[in-house]
Amino acid sequence: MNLFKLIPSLILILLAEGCVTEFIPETSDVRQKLVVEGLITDQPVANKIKLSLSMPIGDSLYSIPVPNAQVYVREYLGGSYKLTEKEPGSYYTDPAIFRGVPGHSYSLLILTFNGRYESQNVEMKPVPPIDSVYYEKVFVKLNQLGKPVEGAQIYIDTHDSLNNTKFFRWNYTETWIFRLPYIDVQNHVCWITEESDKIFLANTSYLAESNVSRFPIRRIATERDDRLRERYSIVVNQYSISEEEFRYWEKIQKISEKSGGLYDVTPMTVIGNIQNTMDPEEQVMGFFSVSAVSSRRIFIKDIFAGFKDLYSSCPFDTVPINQTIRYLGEIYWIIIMNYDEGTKTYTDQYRCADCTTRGTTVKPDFWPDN
Amino acid sequence: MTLKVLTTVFLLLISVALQGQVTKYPVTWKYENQKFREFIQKAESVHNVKFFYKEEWISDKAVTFCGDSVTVAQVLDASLRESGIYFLINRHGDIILTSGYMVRRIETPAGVEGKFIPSVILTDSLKSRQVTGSMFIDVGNPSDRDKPGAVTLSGYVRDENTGEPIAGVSVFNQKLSLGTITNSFGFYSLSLPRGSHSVQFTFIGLKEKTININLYSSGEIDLGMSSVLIPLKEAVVSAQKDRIIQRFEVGLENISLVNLRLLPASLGESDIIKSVLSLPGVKVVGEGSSGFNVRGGSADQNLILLYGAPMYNSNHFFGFFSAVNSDIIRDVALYKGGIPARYGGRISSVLEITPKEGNRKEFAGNAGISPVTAHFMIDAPILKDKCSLILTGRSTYSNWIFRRVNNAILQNSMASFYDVNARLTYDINKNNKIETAYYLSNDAFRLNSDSLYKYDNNIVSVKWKHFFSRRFLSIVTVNNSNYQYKISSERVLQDGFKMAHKVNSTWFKADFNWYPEGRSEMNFGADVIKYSIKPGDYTPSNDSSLVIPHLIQKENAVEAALYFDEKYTITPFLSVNAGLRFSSYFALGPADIMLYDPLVPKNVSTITDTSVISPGRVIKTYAGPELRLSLNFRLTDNSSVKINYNRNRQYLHLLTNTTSISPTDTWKLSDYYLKPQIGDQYALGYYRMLNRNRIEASAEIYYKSIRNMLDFKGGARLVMNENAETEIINVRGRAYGLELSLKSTEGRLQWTAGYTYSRILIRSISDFREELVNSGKWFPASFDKPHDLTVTFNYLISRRFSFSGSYTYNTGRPVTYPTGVFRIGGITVPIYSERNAYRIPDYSRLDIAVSISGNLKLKKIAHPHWAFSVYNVLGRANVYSVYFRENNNRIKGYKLSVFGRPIPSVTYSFDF
Repeated sequence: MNLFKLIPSLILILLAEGCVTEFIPETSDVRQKLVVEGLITDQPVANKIKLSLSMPIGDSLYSIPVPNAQVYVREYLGGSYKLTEKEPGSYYTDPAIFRGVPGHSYSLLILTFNGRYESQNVEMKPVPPIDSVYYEKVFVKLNQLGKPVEGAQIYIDTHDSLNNTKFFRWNYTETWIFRLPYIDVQNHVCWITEESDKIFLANTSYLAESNVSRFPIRRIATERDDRLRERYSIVVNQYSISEEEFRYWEKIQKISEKSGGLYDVTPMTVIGNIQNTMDPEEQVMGFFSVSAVSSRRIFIKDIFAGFKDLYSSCPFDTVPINQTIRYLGEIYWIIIMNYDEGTKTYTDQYRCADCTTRGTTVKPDFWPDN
Repeated sequence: MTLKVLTTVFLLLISVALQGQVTKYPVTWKYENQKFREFIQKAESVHNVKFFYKEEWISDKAVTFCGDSVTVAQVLDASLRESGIYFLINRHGDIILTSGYMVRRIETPAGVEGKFIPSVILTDSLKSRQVTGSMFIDVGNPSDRDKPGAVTLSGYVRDENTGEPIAGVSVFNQKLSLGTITNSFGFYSLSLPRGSHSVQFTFIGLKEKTININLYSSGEIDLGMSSVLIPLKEAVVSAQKDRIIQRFEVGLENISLVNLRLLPASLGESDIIKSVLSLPGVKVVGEGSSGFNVRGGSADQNLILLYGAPMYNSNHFFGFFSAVNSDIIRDVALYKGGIPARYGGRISSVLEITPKEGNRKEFAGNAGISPVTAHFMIDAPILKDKCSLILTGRSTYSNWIFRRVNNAILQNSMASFYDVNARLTYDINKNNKIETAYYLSNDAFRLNSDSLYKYDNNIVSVKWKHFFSRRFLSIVTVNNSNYQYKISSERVLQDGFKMAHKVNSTWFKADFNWYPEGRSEMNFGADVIKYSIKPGDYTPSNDSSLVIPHLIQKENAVEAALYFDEKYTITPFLSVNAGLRFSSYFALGPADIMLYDPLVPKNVSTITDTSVISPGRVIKTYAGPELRLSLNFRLTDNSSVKINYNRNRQYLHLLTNTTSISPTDTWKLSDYYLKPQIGDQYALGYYRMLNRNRIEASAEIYYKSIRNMLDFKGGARLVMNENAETEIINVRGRAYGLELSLKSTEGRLQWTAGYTYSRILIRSISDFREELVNSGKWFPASFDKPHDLTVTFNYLISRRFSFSGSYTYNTGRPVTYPTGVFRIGGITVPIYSERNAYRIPDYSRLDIAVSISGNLKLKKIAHPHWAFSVYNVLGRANVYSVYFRENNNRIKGYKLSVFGRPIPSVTYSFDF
């Protein structure tokens, strides 16, 4: 056999798409667990410790506060400060008498009907300032098939010249202004404030210098909402955390992402640094964090393309100004009074007539006047 | 026909009386025009000679006149030559007539009584004499014929084309229901009573051969077998009668290329290793997952041998394909129970891939294209009959295919792979053979991120086989196997890094096989493995990167073992195989060993001291005997019972805490803290041929206990961890199960059915409560799938068309479900149930395929094959994974099916 000839071949493949079906898992263990969320900082503000119960799967995610607990922050080799419950489940320090000091160690003590919960001692680490928070205009692809839209990518740069901070954690609060397209509504201009809903971590222990550059903290696309339409502001808070806390948040990050796949880490309940000293078998969720904090705020006022008008779907009708509105629905709101033309325009959707359905008319302190 | 002859000759031999040495019978009477019968009667009356024949052979015959003063032999020769009747004057002077075949004598030189006569190469005699039908051979010294006791018939079975030994050939005497199978060197040894026998040699894909022997004393016969016509090799399957009855090993599974072609291919790719995984006792965690679990063992407890070297990653593409091109494979043997003493180092199974022998006669090849890959094979003799080269290559050409798989992991990703095999065999002379082989596989993928993953396997092997004598041979192997992966990312130039992990082993192995006269076979040998592991090197990937190189200290170790193993046939109905392997392991410096506070769980913060071990010094020694014992009782002609006990020790471990193993898991050697894994398995099997030996039935039960298995603390970080011992939890495992199987491999419709019930439960062992998983209770491992049913069939419609199908059902694997959620830092975090407390839904899938061969003309340039197959023809949305996500302010569960609909595919290939 000496003739060697490759014959062109025909391939036919019709790969079927996979599919996803929804289900409610039937689980038997529905015991609710204590959740502690708390952060003690070096800032002269009221620090909050929030106690709640975990929620069973399948139910609506409204957290159930744990009121009437006694909550203390104890300084290692120092005094103990009782926190006051200002709203159910939320306990605050009084900045007049308590303020964290970098270098000192603190622990948390919670007394409830169910037990005595104690955290480990956590040292408050000093934190370097954030070098800069900045943004770049980018094109964002919202999904695989969609066309890219304009947007902003916000980065942070930071470093610690003393090389003390190896583990960084950030969160942010964003605020933006928006207006309803109709002038004659009661609340025309509002501000929205939202907290970050992700965990941002960086580990610089493998780096020669503790240096973080171009850490992508937020990406906003114009098509999705009106954040970038007029003026947007973001304040980024930087924390210096221990390796233990870093590992905790890293695990939280991992298990809150998709799990259950073949290449996903075997899921496991992540336990923090709090324990019921009367019943060590009880699982306590959450972490008592202690850290100095440094913050930096920027504003974005730029021209972006591709906004989707959130109010384009508002139903309205225009009638002569003195005509009685005969409308099947009982409630309607006037959104435009045009005295020149002698017409009035109304809508039956409240969200189109009052911006407080999404935000607040109270202008934040830091918001510039122009 | 064979049977009739056998009966005749057998009866004749028994009735023969001992006579003096007479070879010449002069014809002293007038025989012209005599009837043949009269001639015989006269001869019997004149000489003291007896004739043996069948009346009908001679009733109408007359004697041919051939002159005066002739001998009886001359007259017989002249008279019978034309009529297909032959005669033989045996040692006792009796004259035996045979019809249709000729008896050939091997003369034994005088004075060598008791020694073995030289063996007969049957294929040569076949060529030189075009004897119709079967033939008769005398074996041994006829003067021993009346000595008491059984004698042994032994020899090598080889492939006529390649001259290489064939393992697993069934050697069987139907009349006495005695049989054996050839060992891995093609050697067989069958104990038979003296007398005339018909011995049948059968092997799947080869032409069945029957030889008739007069067995006087122990002797040898080497046999050459030829394969059936290439275009039809998938169609002709001979029965391997009695193989399971004869075999020593409990829990040995064998799949050859021929079996493979009977099964529908998944995604158009025939994958021999994947087919092994459908056998009873073998589980995979999910569709297309890497690794497999044998009888409750974890995925790193399987020793996968290619060219005698261990393969550290046997998968391409997350396990959708196996990393060895099926073109190079002759057969695959999976030892899931009685692991022979020559293997060690893994506690669950040995998967040995036997490569195809190169064709020493003529150039051949094969090429093909399937929806995912294209492949070729060239098989070329370099020196005729002496040296041959096989070269194969395979690569994916369609990245885009996997974008169509609805899986977030696979979408947004690029993936490619290729593999290359080269194997050169050279027969220096009759007693020395050398083979060298090279294997390379490479994968690269990017998973929905900026990180690029690459991994490759490299194997180089040299094997020298030397025959000291026909019954004593040695195989010396030296090989090196290397596995490494690299992850690199350059999203931000300053943070650009490369992370590399590497495991390398050099193996020196000397095996000796000795088949002393009689009923035993001995294997003994030694092996030494040098391991070197680079746990993780984290280095900058470019000049402007600020990453400081972080190199975790290398691990070095030597594993050495001695073994001895003997198979002994006590009686034809009881045989024993006893082996002892003594393995030792030395973890070597340099190393910095962290010492921890013994009162609290090991943690970076509880390190109390560091002990520095200088290079080459022994850190820790582990050693122990491993006993391997099998007993085979033949209950009746067609049933047997086998008992087996096995201990294995394992010094190399894979650190993995994902459900399926992944290519980026790291290997770790036993060290100061990490003890060797020890597995003990007890197995009992019952084997029976049903329905006149057409159906092979077996039932096996086993119990296994495993010490020092590995588990990890929740969310453990296993990569780039200098103190892996702080994340490891010692786990004990116990597995048990029942495996039932039925196989029918004869006729147009061939089928197999297997059912397995098996459990694997594990329990963590620790002095510290917080380290215990599920509070230290027994719980199912993530590959615990109790019920498993597999049915396959192949129906040969005509010589060119065949229809095949396979059906699989198994229990869903255990999963951990969230039982609640809480919010922290603005995100929703699940709280999980106890580990593996729930299961995903059961799995069920039917595949069908039609295969069409081109026309059967022998002289064609290429022989094409088409295979049309449909994967998951029922379209059942089998659950691949279950995950949970927040939707409308509620946590909801989602079941993901990857192959949720029937998937047709076409494969085209051709042999040339």
